[in-house]
Amino acid sequence: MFKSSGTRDVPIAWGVCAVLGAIGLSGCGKQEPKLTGTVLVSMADNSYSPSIVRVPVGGSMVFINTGRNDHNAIAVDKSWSTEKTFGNIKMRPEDMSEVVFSKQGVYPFYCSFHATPDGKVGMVGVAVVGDVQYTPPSGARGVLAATDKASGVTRRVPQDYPTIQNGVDAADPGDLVLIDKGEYTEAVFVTTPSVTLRGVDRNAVILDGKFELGTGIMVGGNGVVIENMTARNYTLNGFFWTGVKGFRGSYLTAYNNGDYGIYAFGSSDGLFEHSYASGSPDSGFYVGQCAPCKVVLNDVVSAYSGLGYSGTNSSGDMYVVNSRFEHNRTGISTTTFDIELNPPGRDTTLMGNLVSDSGLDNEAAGFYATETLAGNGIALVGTHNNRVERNTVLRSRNNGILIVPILDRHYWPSTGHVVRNNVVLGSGRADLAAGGLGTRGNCFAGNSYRTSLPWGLQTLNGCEGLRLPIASDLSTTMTFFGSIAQIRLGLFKLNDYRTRPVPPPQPNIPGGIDAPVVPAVNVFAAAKPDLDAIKAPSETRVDPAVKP
Amino acid sequence: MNVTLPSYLQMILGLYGYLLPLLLYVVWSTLALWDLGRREGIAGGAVWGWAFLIFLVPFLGALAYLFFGGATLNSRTRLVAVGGGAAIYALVLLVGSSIGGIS
Repeated sequence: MFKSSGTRDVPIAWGVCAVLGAIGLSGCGKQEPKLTGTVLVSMADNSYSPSIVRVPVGGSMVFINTGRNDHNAIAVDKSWSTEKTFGNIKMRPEDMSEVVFSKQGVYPFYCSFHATPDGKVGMVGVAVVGDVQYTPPSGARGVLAATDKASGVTRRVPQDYPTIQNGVDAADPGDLVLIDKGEYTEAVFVTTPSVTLRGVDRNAVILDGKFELGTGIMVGGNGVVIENMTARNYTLNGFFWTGVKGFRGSYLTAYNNGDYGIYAFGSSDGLFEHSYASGSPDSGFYVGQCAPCKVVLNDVVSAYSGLGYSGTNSSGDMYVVNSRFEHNRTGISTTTFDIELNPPGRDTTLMGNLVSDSGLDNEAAGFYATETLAGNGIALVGTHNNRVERNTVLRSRNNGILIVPILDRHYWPSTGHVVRNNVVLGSGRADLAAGGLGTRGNCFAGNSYRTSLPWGLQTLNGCEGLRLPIASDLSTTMTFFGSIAQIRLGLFKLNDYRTRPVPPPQPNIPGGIDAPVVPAVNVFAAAKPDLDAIKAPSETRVDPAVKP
Repeated sequence: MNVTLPSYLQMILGLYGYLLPLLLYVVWSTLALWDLGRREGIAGGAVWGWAFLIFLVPFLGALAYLFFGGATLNSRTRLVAVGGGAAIYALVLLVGSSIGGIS
């Protein structure tokens, strides 16, 4: 039914008619064009765009991997896949494959790396072929609504249900799924809203992917809470919320997972707190693609990852506070990419964080993309209007706080940032650095630092009054090109995420199994930090050679 | 939220603001050393003294020599290279900070 084709007849006549029609010279309109349309579908990280695709019978979809991860597209009914048309289950970045549709129908599809095989959660799409009625599902996934009330029902794993997935599937909104001590080799999907998953002991309830399973717990339902457990050794993520409104992760540990540790994508109104992530080649904590996000990271620790915290196109009401980022390639990065929706990243508040030893030793995991930025404490990359205040940034291999543009499809200058009252010391190149063309409109005041690039950055670009156009130094751009050259030449060591340090035992949720069950509804209203009360961390050790 | 992206003019002024001082430093010290090296009738100790000053005190060492060290450079070269360069840099700073330097 479906075939792959390298060359096809391009509907030139149709195109000419369309152009003529557009400029009012149509003689073509009466003739129904032969339906052979092609629709371009980007495979971003991690969603299809567009995700609902209408194609005529005989038409095709061209999938292009515009992301930085491997992707694919597989029909839920297995009638077609890019594995067949492309010849490999992995389409790498920039790979293309065309799927031709000869029969009308509705074909849900999914990416086997980033979605559930039922085509319902994660990176999923629908191909509507021919003149078929199709109404996309409305509202939250399924018919259940989120609730802010706990139901009082507790479902025990493994006492009542042998697996976490069984317990989750049985749960109604407001229920508690209580997981007993043990190692669970599961990849759990949660679609029911307002379920709370809780481990009885954070350090002894362990989801283990054995480096074979994708994601420990993937959530596609609103209001879902995960608490007090550990996810490790997954090829993708530890804990992952996607496309939800209302989420919370508390007292979680995620380590040595192959993509991200604790991750929210296309999701808003959420909180990650009292959690630990380490050993991910991308980032320990990642909040991507949201506007406004209304997401708070409070009191988390992130270590030994490519990036401690990464926010790509996380735009508006995004807070990272009172947290520690240590021994990552780069501590904190806010980033703009065209390959995810709603660029640029903007309005992130970073406050009261301790960022240390970024890129300093070779213990962190990493991959080629994080390596271009490696060695910076806080990097604001092509983003706008971030507030960086009362952080302590120590012992960064290159720069303490770095502001640089990014070139993706568009050129995104980094501008409008306020960098105030930070302690930034012991950086290898500069404590405060701004680089690249168009890096301007940023202000610096009250920071304790020794070195800056360009010279006089804080003096000449203060937060009050006149700012001189000496606001950017091109040597950081050269460093960036140098990093790319190093990557191309393979001149740096990338640590395997599977062998990163195992974190020490972490504190359990107060109250243990009897802690109140609070579904994640209207999270941000309660979680929004009181910024005035946030204090700078007290550590000031500068010398990397002296161990604390 | 309101973000104003920099215009091309602002980007160029930012580039000049960064690059021009480097250029002026190189030009002024080169002129001073070149003049110092080809002068006749100056004591060896004075040559060493000025050379140290030019090398070790950026901008000011070279300017001091060109204006007060008895430089033999003709006045038009001096005016264009020193006065002109400084004036253009001042203009870049002035324009650069007045169009969007304040926010």
